[in-house]
Amino acid sequence: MRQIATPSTLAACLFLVGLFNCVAAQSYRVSGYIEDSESGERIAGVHVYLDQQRAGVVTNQYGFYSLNIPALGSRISVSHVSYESVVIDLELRADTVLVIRLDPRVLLMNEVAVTSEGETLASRIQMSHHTLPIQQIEEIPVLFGESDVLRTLQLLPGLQGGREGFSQIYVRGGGADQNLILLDGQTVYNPTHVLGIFSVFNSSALKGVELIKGGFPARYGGRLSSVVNFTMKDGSRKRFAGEGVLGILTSKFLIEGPLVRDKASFLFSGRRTFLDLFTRWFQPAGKTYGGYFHDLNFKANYKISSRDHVHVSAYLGEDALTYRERAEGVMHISTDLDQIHKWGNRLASIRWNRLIGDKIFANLIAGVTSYRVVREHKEREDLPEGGSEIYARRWHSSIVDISTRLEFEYAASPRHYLRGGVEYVHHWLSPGSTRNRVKSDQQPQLNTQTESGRQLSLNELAVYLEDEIPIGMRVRTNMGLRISSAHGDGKFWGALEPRIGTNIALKKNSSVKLSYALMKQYLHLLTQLGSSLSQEQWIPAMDGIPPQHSTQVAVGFAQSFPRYSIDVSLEAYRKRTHGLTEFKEHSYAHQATALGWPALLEFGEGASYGLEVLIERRQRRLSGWVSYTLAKASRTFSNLNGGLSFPDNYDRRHDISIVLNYRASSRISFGASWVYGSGYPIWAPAGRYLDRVYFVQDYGGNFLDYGLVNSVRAPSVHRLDVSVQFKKQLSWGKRTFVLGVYNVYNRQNPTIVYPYIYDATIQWRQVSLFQLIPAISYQIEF
Amino acid sequence: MRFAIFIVLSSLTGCISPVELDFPDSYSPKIVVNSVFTPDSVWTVYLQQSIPYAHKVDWEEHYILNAVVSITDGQGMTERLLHTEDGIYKSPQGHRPIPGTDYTLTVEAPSFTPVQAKSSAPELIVYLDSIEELQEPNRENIGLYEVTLSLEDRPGDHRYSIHALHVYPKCVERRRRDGLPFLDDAGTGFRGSTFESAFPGLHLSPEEAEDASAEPISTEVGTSIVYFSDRLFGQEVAKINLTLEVRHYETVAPYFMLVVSSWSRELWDYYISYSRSTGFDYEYFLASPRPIPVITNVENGLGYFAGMTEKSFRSDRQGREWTDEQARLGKDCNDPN
Repeated sequence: MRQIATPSTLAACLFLVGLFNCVAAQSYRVSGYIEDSESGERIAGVHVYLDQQRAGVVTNQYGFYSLNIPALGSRISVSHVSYESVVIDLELRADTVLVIRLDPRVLLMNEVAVTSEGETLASRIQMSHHTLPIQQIEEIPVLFGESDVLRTLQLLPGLQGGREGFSQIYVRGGGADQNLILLDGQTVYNPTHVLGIFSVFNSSALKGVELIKGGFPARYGGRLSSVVNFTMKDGSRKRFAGEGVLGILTSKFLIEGPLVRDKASFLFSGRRTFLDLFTRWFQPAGKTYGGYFHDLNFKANYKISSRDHVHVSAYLGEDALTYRERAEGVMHISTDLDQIHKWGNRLASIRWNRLIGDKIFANLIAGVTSYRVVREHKEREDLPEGGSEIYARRWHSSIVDISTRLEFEYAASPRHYLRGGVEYVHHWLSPGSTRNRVKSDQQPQLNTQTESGRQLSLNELAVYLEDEIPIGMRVRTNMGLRISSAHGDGKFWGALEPRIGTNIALKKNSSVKLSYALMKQYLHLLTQLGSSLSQEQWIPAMDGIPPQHSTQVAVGFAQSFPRYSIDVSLEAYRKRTHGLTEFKEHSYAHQATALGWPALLEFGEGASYGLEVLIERRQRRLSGWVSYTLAKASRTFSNLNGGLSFPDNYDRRHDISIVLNYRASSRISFGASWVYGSGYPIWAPAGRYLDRVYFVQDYGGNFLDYGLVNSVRAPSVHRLDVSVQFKKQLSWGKRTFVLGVYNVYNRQNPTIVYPYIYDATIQWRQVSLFQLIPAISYQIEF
Repeated sequence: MRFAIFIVLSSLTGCISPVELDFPDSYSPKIVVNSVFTPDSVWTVYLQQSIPYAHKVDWEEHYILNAVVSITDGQGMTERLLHTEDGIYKSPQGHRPIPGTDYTLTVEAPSFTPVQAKSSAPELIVYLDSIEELQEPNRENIGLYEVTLSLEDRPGDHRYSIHALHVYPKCVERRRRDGLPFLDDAGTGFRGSTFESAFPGLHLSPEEAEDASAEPISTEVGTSIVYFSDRLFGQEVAKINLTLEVRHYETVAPYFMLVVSSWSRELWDYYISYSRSTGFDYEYFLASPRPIPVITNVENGLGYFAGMTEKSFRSDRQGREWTDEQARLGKDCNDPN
């Protein structure tokens, strides 16, 4: 039997897809999906709330929900910050599958929040959790007018951005490699373009982003510091639509539409920089240099039935820096020199969502992800006698994963939710291999090709179970256990990773939260001192290189003021990390072939603790947030810094962000953000000395005696960014014109601080990479 | 490639400006040792002190003149070096290091923490098997010579270099090169001679020689100095053939010289760490998450105390050994005689 309910006053559609036998005598189960009424996209984070019972659930990443409701009439409220809420009265006689469609909010009211999509901050169990609607990300002023998800995440408490102007994220004292960054369930190993200045995520193709910066639940593993979970849009199942953006540095496009109306859809988007095209005009004859990056996102989905849904998604992104030189020598002999430095991610996945009965949501995902860095040097000389000689050298470092994951979710009751799953990943790693090739037309005996570098592999297998359950009326917990294991290089590691999150309700809108988590990471990212940027080398745990692991304890207080749409949260955390790696002093990656990786590395520990405050206002004409972080992060290696602890490279004591969005009308909105951060540590020389014998000619004989590691602080960083958006509804679609200014008051913030010899003294200098930068972009949607 | 990277970054660069930093504590100067010792030279140690990084000073004021400098070999020999001038300490008896012996240097000076360092001058057994003129001087006055060396590798890990030089009759910059003595007051000096070799594992720098994945120089690449380790011929006698280009001058006969050096681990590492150190260029700081200091093997101090053993082979066009006088080495460059 099929029922259709249409609450006309709220313009929501309600489809009753199936009716099934009920098990419980006094209640029935209603489960299904929440969809966007215009595009058919399934919506994550929608709060489905039982009014009488004062209990509810939040749709999962795939828009799925499941509730037990009383048989004799119940009222459910369905709300999401970006959609009109609906209230539905249900009178069920059997378990029911219900698809609820929500209308997007009208523009003026669409004032969005950094957290709390439906549920309040105080009611959520998960600590240290944020979701950011993409629409809000696009309204926050950014560098070069380029919407940047990671840069926006940096404005949240507990996240550091590394060097000023860069897009990396460092969470609660953790390294960049300790963030699990997912795009449609697949790992993204390097989330940045242009040596870290832009993120690889094209906001046009994204549906949402979820950040968990500590104590993450058992379903996530393999990293120590955070989970950043990006979901791509599915593509409209209703109509064809498109978007084009012309910006200062990049331009991008998006097209989406139904493949089979209401059954299947696709989305395809791309983004590319044009700096290389402009720089060609200014280059000397015979020389060409430049750089670019591009992204391509693709997604398609097919709704097989009301219970089965298949998604295919893919991402391809690449950066390239190139240098080419062509020289004419004597006797018209020409030589060509080509140098290329490329790096990029490639991901592809297929996902099958299935509703098993009315109670179990299953997700099976299989995919492949790869990240590689390549440097190529090729010289070609035309010989006077004819023919040519070629010398080519290629260095590359890569990691390729093949993974599969099976997940189950079971809503036993509105207050009791179970999750479980199993995950397998096979990693192939090539942490730096070199191929040299010589080819001579005239002297074939010289033709050689040599390769060096060892391939490594690692198998990771994990199972997990989470139980979200109430204890009494005031306490709700999410208790989980992840059993992880890894096998490679003839070694086996296993670990029990308990995860506990607890919410203790104090009053209706306030709660205390506690969390504890133990996390294990079987991969290490090595960053070679003195190497070129983007020369990452991932290596697995192996004999002599233990896995990393960390424990984190956090306690928090959350208070919501629904009347004012304000949430306040306060969190304190303490994290200890073991198995951190650094290159030994004066060891370097090239020695790995001869000596093996373990001989090159030092192993140490990290400790970090901090206090984070977030005050946010949502769903108002004026919305935004204020965040403050007080933090300390240190590392200890027995053979570095004399065994003394030293501040982490991105240890920053104070961090403040103020973000405001103001909708003046349906056509004009303003955005502003102001950030302040105390200075990063610098490992500065304390003294200088002469070499009177060996390198007396260099640096005027001046050598630096570096003191304690990271004992000096760079100047603090602060800046104000503003933007204004002019939107206009046209007969064929919508256009948005964005003007913005990065670093309005032209603060000279240090990107790099370095010593410089000036007039026989050593002077400290700073490079301020990004001063006042205007931005403009023009966007059309149809 | 770095050029390309910085072209892109430079386009984004706003400005470079001086910045004041607060340093936590006062700096305690350290003893700085500079000593490369070879079996052919008298024990010599240069001493000075380090200074706070921001000081603008006259370095001569910071030579250490009153130190107690001793060298021991662990077998009862102790040599006390005496100050001669400008913080230079030498063996009063003119003693020289013995190859293959481990030496320990200790330096004590008032108001400084005593320092200690260890190293040895490796044993070096190398022979010049043959020299043959392959080609008479051509129109560019360049002659070609085929040289064969036999290098007998000793147990343990060893690091070598071969430097080819020829006598250059004009005024030259008197720069010290890889262990060669300064040519004090010389006008006539050395210049590098290009050579090619098919011997496997020759590299253009010690850093590359340590890199198992680095491409060795090809037979087509000419260089005047190569570095290599005994990774490919451990404890064997290596036959090394070089094809040497020697420029002939009108005023000076074609005198050329090959210098084969065996490096101590300490000097080799110092050389590498210097080439990798971050120095004073922001390019390095951009590329590095933290600075790379120059290595030291001086406990509680700075600098180096490192051994090296060299053997020089001098030859003229006919394969005869030449003398400084014949080559007019050390003559003033304006002296026609």
